Amino acid sequence: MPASGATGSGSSAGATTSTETSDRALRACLAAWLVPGAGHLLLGQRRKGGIFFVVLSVMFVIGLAFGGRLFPFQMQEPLVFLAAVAEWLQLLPRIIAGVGGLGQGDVVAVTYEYGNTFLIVAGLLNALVVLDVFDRARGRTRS
Amino acid sequence: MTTHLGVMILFAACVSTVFGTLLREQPRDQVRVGGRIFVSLVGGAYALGWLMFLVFG
Repeated sequence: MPASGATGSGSSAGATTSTETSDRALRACLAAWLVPGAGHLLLGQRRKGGIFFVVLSVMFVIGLAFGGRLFPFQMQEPLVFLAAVAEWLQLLPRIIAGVGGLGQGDVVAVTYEYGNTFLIVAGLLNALVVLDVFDRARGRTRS
Repeated sequence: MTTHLGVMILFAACVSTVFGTLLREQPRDQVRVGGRIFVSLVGGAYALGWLMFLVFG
């Protein structure tokens, strides 16, 4: 009987730990999506979080400064739609830029396409950062 | 900095920094991997540019 009770208790504790780990992973991923590097900061990796925050934010700002465009979700234009998805992978910078009226897209600027590239790649890199945060929060780290 | 080469170097620096930080844990290894990625990106683009110039130019 004690063995059975201990097993049940251990199973319950294991489930609780698993739920806590999932919650922690979810919170860290949401933070990383919201602000680049915030997920790593939540997991206690300040140096990595700081590097991601600085580099990805700088890439986003450079994209805007180069006249890049914040693309709308246009289903008729698949590439525009995908570019919009990529840009929304950095949530807070995208919202701030959108609310601030930035990212109208200076089509005649020499750097227009470069700007788009910086904006899109910054979002895609942040997606990789979010996946890394998920792995770390679940305890799967690279040796 | 708005020359093609300048923008490419800026882009490669940002991308290689993120990948280097993502792929390795130790700062020394991160710098090494990031540097390798940076050189590959810039060198590859430079070589491809020359190749296109020689073939199509």
